[in-house]
Amino acid sequence: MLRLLPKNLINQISAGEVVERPASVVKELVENSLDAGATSIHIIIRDGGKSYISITDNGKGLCKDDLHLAVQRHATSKLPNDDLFDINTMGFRGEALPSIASVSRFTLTSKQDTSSEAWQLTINGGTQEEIIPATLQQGTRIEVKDLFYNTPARLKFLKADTTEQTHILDIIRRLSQSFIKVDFSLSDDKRSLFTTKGQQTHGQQPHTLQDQDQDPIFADQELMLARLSQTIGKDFPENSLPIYHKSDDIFIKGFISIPTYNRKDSRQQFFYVNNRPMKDKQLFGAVRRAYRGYIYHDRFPILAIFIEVNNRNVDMNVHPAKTEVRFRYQQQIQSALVSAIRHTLAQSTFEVSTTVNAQAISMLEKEEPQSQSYSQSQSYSQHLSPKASLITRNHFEPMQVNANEFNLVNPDTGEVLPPTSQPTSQGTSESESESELTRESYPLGMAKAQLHKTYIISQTSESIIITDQHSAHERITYETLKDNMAKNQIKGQLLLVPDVVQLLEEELALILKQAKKLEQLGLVIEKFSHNSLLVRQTPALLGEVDSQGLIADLLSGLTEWGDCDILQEKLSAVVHRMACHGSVRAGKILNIEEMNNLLRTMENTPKSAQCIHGRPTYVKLELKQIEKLFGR
Amino acid sequence: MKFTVKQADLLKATSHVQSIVERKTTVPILSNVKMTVSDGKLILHATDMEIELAETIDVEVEEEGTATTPAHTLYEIVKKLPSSEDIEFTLTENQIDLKAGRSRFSLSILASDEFPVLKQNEYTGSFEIDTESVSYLINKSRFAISTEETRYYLNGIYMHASDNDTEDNKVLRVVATDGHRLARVEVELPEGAENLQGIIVPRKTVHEIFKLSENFEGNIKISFNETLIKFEMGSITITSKLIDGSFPDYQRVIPKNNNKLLELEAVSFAKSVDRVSTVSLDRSRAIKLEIQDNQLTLVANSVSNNQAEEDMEVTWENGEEFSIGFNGKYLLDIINQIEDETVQITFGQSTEPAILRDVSDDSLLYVLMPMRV
Repeated sequence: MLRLLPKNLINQISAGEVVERPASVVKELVENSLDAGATSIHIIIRDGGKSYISITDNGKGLCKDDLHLAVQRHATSKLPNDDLFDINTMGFRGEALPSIASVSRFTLTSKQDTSSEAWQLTINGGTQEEIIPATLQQGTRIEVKDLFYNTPARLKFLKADTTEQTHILDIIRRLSQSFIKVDFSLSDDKRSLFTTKGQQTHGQQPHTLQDQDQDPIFADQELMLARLSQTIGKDFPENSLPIYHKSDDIFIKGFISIPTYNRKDSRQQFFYVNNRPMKDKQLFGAVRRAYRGYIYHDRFPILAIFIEVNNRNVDMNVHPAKTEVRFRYQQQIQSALVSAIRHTLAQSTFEVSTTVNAQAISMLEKEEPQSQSYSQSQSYSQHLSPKASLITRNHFEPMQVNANEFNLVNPDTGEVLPPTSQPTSQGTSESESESELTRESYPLGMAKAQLHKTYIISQTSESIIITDQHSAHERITYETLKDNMAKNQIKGQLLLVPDVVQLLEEELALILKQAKKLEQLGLVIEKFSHNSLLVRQTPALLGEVDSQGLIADLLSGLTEWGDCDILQEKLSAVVHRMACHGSVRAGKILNIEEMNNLLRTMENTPKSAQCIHGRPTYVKLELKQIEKLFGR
Repeated sequence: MKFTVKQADLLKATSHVQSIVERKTTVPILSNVKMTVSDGKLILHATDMEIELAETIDVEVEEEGTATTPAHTLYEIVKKLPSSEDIEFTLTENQIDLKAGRSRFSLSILASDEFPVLKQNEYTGSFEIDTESVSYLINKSRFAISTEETRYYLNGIYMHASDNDTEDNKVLRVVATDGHRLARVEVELPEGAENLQGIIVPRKTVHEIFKLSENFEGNIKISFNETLIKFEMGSITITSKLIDGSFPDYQRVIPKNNNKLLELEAVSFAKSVDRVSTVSLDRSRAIKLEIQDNQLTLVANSVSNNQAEEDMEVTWENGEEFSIGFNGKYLLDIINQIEDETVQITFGQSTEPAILRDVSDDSLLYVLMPMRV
C-alpha cells in the first residue's frame, strides 16, 4: 500500500542529506547568520557539538510570525525571484532548519531588528511547542541539543569528540576566510578554540613579501591577509604572494604560498566560489598544473583563492552540502586560475620559505628546537601537521656546524686551506675593498667556502646562505634543457606497425579531443573503430613505448585533471634524468669562481629556489637571527 | 656419489650452466645445478623454468648418485682452480666436498628430487641445420628484438618456413622487430623444417644459442612443437619454452613500392652517422638525411643546442631533393649488419618506412621507420 510519508519522517530523511554530523549543523546555521547580515557570530559547542551547539549572531533577526515558517520545509527568504540560477545567498534550499529541528532538541530565539521583543520557539525531535517571549538583545540565537537523539543509527556513526570538533573548526575557519569583515568565535565550556581578531583590532600589519610601499593589488588585500594569518598560520603572510585576475566574467583574488612553503596534502588549499567554500577537484587540478615544475608532485602549496563569477554562470545546486560547483565555462575558469598563479610565481624567482630558514635556525638552538618556528596559532596545530614539518627538517639533519669540518678555499688558488685559518669575520670583510661590498649586494651573496664538498656558504651584508650545489645546479641544467626542448620541435618516432589500443567509447571521444595537443608532444593517435584507436607515432625521447599503458595513464589524467600533463611529465622526467647526470654532484670540490658563478646563475634562473623535487636549494640564515642565538 | 673430473671439462660445462641460472631468484633451488653421475658420465642440469640446459661430460666414476649445489659458486671455484688439476667430488650427508690439489671446498646441497624439470611433450617436427646458419640467422636479427615487456610477442625472434621473395626457393626465415625497425634474415630451408609454421623463440634463448654456437662445429638438431623448442648440439641440449603469442603479419609492413634508390658506402656511412650523432645526448639521437644530386648531408642537433653536419658522395638515381629523419642508433645497428661495401636504401615518402639491404646478400632485409624531425 502506497502512502505519503509523515512530514516528520520526510524531514528526517532530508536531515540525512544535509545534517551529517555536528559540523554540518554549524555550517548551515552560520551560513544563515551570514545571510542575515551578521557581523559577529559566536559559537559554543560541548562534546564536539554532540550534546550542545549554540550559535548567536547580531543579524537582522526574525519576527514572531516568521518563527513558525522558518522551521517549515522549503520555507526560505532567500530566493526572492524564485530563480534557482540567481543565488546570492549562502543558503537557498530551505531545508536546514526543519532538518536540524527534526533530529535534535532545537530552540530558536530571535529578535527582529525593527522590533523590541524577542521570541522563542522550541522543537523536540520535530514536535513544535508554543512560541514564548524571551530575552535577547539582538539577532538570533539557535541552540541544538542532543543531536541525533532520536536517530540512534546516525548517532552511532559520529566519531570521537575531538574529531567532530576538528570538523567544526575546519568549517568555521573556511567561512571566516571568506567573510573577512565578520568576527567569529568558537569555544567549548572550558576555553576558546578559535577567535578572529576583528578588523578594528588588527592594527598590527603583517609582514609580507611585498615591499612596504607597494600598493595592494586588490581591495581588502591586507584585511584578507590578516585573516589568513589567523587561520592558516602566522608565517603564511611572509611566505605568500597575492594573485589577481580580472576579465569580463571572472574575477580571481587570493594568496598562494611560495613553492618551498608546502605541505604533504592539499588540506591547506582553500577555494571559494562567490564566497562559498568549495572542495572542487577541477580547481585542485588547476593548482597542481600551475605549480608544475615548481613543486614535486607529492607536495602541495598552501593557498586561499576566491573566485567570483556571475551567478548565471555557475550552478551551486549540485550537492546538498554545496561543496561542489558546476561552472558554465569550466575551461576558462581553470585557465584563468592557472595563468593568475603562474604570473605571480614567475615574478618570485628565488625565495625560500622563511619556515625553512627558521627551522634551520632552530636546529642550531640547543633547547626546544621546534618551539620557535611552530608556536603560532596553537589551536590549529593539528593542521600544521608536525609530521610534515619533521619531513622538511630531515633535509637539514646533516647540517651541523663544526669548525673542524670547514673546508676553506683560497679564492686565488682554489686550494683547500687547513681549518686553522678561520672564516673571515664581519669585521675583516668591512675592511675589504669597495668592490667586495657592492658584490655582497647580490641576493645570494659572495661564496666564502664549501663544506662537505656539497654545501656552498656565501655571505650577504645581512645573512649567511647555505646552498646545496647539486640540487641548485640540477635546476639550472634542467631549465636550460627544457628551454631548448621547447625551442626545438619534439621528435616523434613513427611505428612500423601502429599499436591498436582498446578502450571505452567515451574514453575514445575524450582522448581524441586532445589529438592535436598530443601531436605537438610527439604522440600521434587516430580513431580506428568505435572502441579502439591507433597509435602511429610516439615521442622519440621515451624510446620503446608501451602504448596501451601510456594511453591508460593519459586517460586517467584526463578524467582526473582534464589535461594531458601526464605525457608532458613523462617527457620532463627524461629531461630531468639528463639534467641530473649533467649536473655537478655532491662531493665535487668547487673553487670560489665556480661557486660564485653558480650563485649568479641561480639568481637569473626561474624557480632556482627549489630543486626539481620541490625541496629548497638554499637556506638563508639572517644575521639578526644568528645574533639572537648568541644572545646579542 | 663420488667422481673425479678434469678442471677444463668442468669449467666449460659450468660456464654454460651459470649463464642459464639466474643470479637472483626467489626459488632457492633454481640457483643450483643438478649433477647426476652414472655410466661413466656426469650430466649437469640447469634451468630458470623457461630454458633448460643439460650437458654431459666424461668423468671417472667411483660411486653413482645425484646432488644439487649452487651453480655460480661452483663455477667461480672451478674457474679459479689450476687447469692441470683434477677435481674430486664426494657427496656426504649434508654437503658436497671438492678436492683439487691442496684446495678443499664444501658446498651446500638441496634435495635433488625437488629440482624442477620442463614438462616435455612430443615434438612434432625436427631438422638438422649447420651451426653457421643458426649463428648467421641470430646474429643478423637479434638487435631488433623488442625489450618492451608489455609486447611480449615481440620479445623474441619469429622463425618459420617460407617462400623467398621471388618464390623460386624455400627458405627458413627469421624475423625480429621492436615496432621501430624490423630485421628479416633467411637461409635455405633445411630438410625436415617444411612444417615449421611459425614459432617465437625468446630473447634469452636466442642469446644463449648464439653463445654456444660460437664454440660448436657440426650440425645442430632442432626439434619443435607448439610450446617447446629443443636444440641438440653434441653433448649439450637446450630446451626452451616458446613465446605463446601471435607475431604480427610482418610482410604487410615491408613496403612494396619504395622506388627512390640510394646507394652508398657502408663503412664511411656508419662512421659519419656515428660522428654526427655525437652531439645528440638524448635517447632519440635524431639524424636528418638530406639528399640532392648525388650528395647526402647528415644533420644532427640536440636539446643542448649542439649541431653537426657532414656531407658524403652517394648514388641517387632519382635526382630529386629528398629528406628524411631517423634515429641514429637504429641506423647504425642496421648498417653494422651489412658486410658488403655498399648498402642500398630505398625510400617511399619521408613518413614511410625505408628498406635497407646488402647489395651482395639478398637474404638480408631491414625495414626502418623514420622519425619526424
